Amino acid sequence: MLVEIGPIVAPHGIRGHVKVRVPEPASSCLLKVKAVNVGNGETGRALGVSGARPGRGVVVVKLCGVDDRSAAEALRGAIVSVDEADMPGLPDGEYYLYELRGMSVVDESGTRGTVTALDSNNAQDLLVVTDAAGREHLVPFVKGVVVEVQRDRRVVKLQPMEGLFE
Amino acid sequence: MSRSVRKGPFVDRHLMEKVLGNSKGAQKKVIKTWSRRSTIVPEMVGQTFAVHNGNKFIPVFVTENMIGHKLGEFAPTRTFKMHSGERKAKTETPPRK
Repeated sequence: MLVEIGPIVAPHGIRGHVKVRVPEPASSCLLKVKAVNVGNGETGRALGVSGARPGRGVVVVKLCGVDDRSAAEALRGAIVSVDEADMPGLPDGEYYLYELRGMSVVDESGTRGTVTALDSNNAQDLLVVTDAAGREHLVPFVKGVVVEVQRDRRVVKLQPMEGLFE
Repeated sequence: MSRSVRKGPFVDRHLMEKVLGNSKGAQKKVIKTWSRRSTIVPEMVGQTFAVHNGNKFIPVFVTENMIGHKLGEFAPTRTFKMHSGERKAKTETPPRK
């Protein structure tokens, strides 16, 4: 499975480097991988990575076969993805969005919806839970609210709390 | 100029009544509020607030390191959504500086 990292926002320099916008400043995934998929999802092409260094909100990547600015310019807007197996491991209690996306959210009263995205309130991560009617609800992703995340069953268990899904 | 210590932290009275009422009950409720100006006080720790950001209610689970901040600081009025699968979510809240 491919995991979307971010779009190529601009070429960098004249030797075919590209800037990839990354979601977190401390993102290290692109610095470690040997190959990426460039393009939209499965229709993209696999390209080797010959070098990468972090920038401000971006990672500057040198892709194999992209050797001048024109070739780099042609990739502007393309989405960079990496193979799931190449993603760095995370400590306990931390999850990638691609792992959480599609998980069922359940509490005492049954299934409340599925996780569709992540948001933030400046202090905590928020799960964007979409219910059967298509309405979006925000749920703080903290221990006081989330009881457990069952990766194998693809379920996020919540503490019952009145008013969370109003 | 900062607020005089003599006055204590400002919390809207109607919100404080809800907080004290909620902490007595067995099952906690999400407290809906428009009072972004209220300061987070120790009585609020462990409670979940739905703070209005002008458009919708943003849930905020209050932890110890939020004390002294205003509720509005945790309900951003301008948001930027990211779609990258590489984004991480933590169940632990890092201490706020």
